[in-house]
Amino acid sequence: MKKALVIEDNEDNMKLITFILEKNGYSTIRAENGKMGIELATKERPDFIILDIQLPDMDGIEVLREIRRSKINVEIPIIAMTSYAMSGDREKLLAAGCSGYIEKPIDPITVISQIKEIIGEEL
Amino acid sequence: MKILIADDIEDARIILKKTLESDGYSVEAASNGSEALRMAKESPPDMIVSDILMPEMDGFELCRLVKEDKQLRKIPFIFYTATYVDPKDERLAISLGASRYILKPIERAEFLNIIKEVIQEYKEKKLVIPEKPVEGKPELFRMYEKSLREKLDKKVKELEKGNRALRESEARFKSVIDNVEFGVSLISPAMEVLLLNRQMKKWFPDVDVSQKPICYKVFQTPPGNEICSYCPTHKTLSDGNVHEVFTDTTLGQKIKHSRIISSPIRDEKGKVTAAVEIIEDITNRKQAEKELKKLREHLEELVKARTGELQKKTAELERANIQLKELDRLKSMFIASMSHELRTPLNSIIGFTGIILQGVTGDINEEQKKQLTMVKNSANHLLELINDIIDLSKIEAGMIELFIDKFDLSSLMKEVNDSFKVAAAEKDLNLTFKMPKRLSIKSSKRRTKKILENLVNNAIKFTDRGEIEIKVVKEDRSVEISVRDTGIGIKKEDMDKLFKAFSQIRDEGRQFQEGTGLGLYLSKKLTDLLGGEIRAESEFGKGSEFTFTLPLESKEVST
Repeated sequence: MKKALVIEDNEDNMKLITFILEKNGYSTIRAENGKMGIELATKERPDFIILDIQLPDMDGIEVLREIRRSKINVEIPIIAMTSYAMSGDREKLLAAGCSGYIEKPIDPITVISQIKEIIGEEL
Repeated sequence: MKILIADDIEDARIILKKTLESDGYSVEAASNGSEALRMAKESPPDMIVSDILMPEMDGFELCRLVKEDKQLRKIPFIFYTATYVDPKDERLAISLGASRYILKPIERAEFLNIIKEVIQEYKEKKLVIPEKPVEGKPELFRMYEKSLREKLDKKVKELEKGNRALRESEARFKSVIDNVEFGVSLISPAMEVLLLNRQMKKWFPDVDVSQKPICYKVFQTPPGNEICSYCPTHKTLSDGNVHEVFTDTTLGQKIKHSRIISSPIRDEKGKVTAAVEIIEDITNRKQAEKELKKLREHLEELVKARTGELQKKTAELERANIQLKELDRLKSMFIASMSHELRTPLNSIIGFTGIILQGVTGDINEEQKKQLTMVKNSANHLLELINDIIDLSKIEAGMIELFIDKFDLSSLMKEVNDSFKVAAAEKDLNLTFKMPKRLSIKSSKRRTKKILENLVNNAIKFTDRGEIEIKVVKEDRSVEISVRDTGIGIKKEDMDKLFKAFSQIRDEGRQFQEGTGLGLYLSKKLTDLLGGEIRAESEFGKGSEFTFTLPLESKEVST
C-alpha cells in the first residue's frame, strides 16, 4: 500500500482529500503546516506528497524547496494543490521542483486519475 | 651765388629752392612778381628764375621791369614755366631780355646745367641785354596780352568747371551729412566747432559756426568751461585714434542716451587737423532694450514659476505613483487571498456532495439525491461566479495566466459537447458541431473553452426551440468559431451593451435569467488577450450568432 503525505491546513479539505485517497487504496499521513510537513517527509518516507501551496506558517514553494534539498527525498513525486494560479505561479512551482499540480476545488471523481498520472501509476 | 626765385605755388618754390641749394647756390624766394622786384631792389641777386603766371605781377612784367632798371638789367633772367607752351611766348620772353626759357618738367641735372651755362655767359659778358626798352614793341605786347587773355579765359573756365564740380561734390556731401539721423560736427584741435550738420543744428539751434565757438561752451547744458569728462573727440585729437562712448547728453534740451564716435581727419603728412564727431540718439533703442530685458525677466519668472509648479506636480505624481503601486500590490494580494479563501470552503462542499452522490459512503434515496444535486449545482454556479470575478480581476491587474499550448480543437469540442448535451437535451434542443476533422492551434485551451462555454451556455439559456450550431472554420492565419442559435435574438438598440460588464439584457416577457452578467464581458477580454476578436449578429425574434476568432498561434501575455 502506497503512503501519501498530505500537507493541508484546512481541516475539511484534509478530510476530503484523505478520504478520497484512502477509498482508493492509499494510506495517508497528515501534516497541518509546512514545518510539520518537512519533518514528516524526512521521517516517514512517504511514496508521494500532496502539498497545499497556501499554508499558514510558510510559503508552499519554500516547503517544496526544503523537501527537495533534503537528500532522502530526491525522487519523491510532489503534487501541488493550488487555488487557481496567478500568472507566473506555475513556472515558479515547476522551477521549485514540483512534479505536477491539481487545482482546487478538486473533483472527487477525476482527482484520483490526475494523481495517478502524476505519480506514474497505471490508470 | 645768390639766386632769386619767383613762383606763386609753394610746392614749386620749395622744389626749386632745394634743387638749387643742392648745387651750392643760396636762394631767396618770392611768391609773385612785385615781391620779387622789391627783394631784387633791396638786395640784388646774381640771377633771377621766375615763373610766368603769378598773381599781382606776372613773370613777363617782372622781366620787363628788371630789364628797364639800370641797376638790375644786367642780372641774368630765366623763365621756368609750365604755363605757356606757345612758341610765341618764348619769342616774347627772349625779346624781353630773358636768357633762357625753360619748360617744365625738366631733368634736374639738365636744369642745373642750363643755370651753369647762363652764369658762364654772364661771366664772359656774353649776356644779351636788349638795347631798347621793350615798350618800343607794343605789337608784341598786344599779341601777348591777347594770348594771355585767351589763356586766362580758358583757365577761368577750367577753374569754374572745377569749382562747379567742387560745389556739386560739396552739395552731395552736405546732403548726405544733413540727411543722416546722426548729429555730425567737425571739431578743430583747439576744440572749435567748424561745421554742424542739420541734425546738430536742430539740437543746438543757437550755435553759430562762423564764430568758431569752443564746443563745450556751446554743447554743454548749461554752457561749461571745461572739456566734457567723457569727451571722445578730445582723445581723438590728442592720440589720433577712433574713440567711442555711450553717455547721457542733452540734445534739443532733453536728456538722451547717446553714442558718440570721434574719428580723426588728417592732412597729407598724417597730422590730425580735425575730428569728426558723430552723435547718435540711442534713447529709443535703449528703451527697447530695456523693455526687452524686462520682458525676458518676466518670461524667466514665468518659466521659473511654471517649473516650480511642474516640479511640485511631478513630486505629487511620484507620490501618487508610489501609492498606486502600493494599491496594486494590495490588489494582487487581495485577489490571491480571495481566490484561496472563497474556494477553500467550496472545495469541501463540492467534494463531499460529489462523494455522497457517488454512493461511496452508502446509499441515499431519490429525494436526497435530488436535493444534494441541487446543492452541488448551486455550489458549482457559485464557483463559476467566483472564477469569473477572479479572472476579471486578474485581467485588470495584468496577472492572468493564459497557459498557451498546442491543442486539438476537436477534443475541445468533444468536451464542450459532453458538458452541454444534457442541458440541451433537457430543452429538446439540437446541439450540432461542424468542423474540420483535425485542427490543432497554439493557444489557450482553457481560455478558449471558457469563451465557448459562455457562448453555448447563453445560446441554450435564450433558446426555447430549434437548434444550436457550433461551427469552426479555418482561415489563413486564424480560426473562426461561431455559435448560432434559433433563440429570442437581440434588439438592435441592445447590441452595443452586449460586451459590457453586468449588462444582462432584460426582457419583460421573460423571467430573470440566471447568470452573472459577466460572461460576454469576460469572453471579450479573453479573446483580446489571445489576439482575436469577438462579434455578434442577431435578428430579434429569430436568433443570434456569436463569432470569435483566434490566431493559429497566440502569445503568452507578459506581466
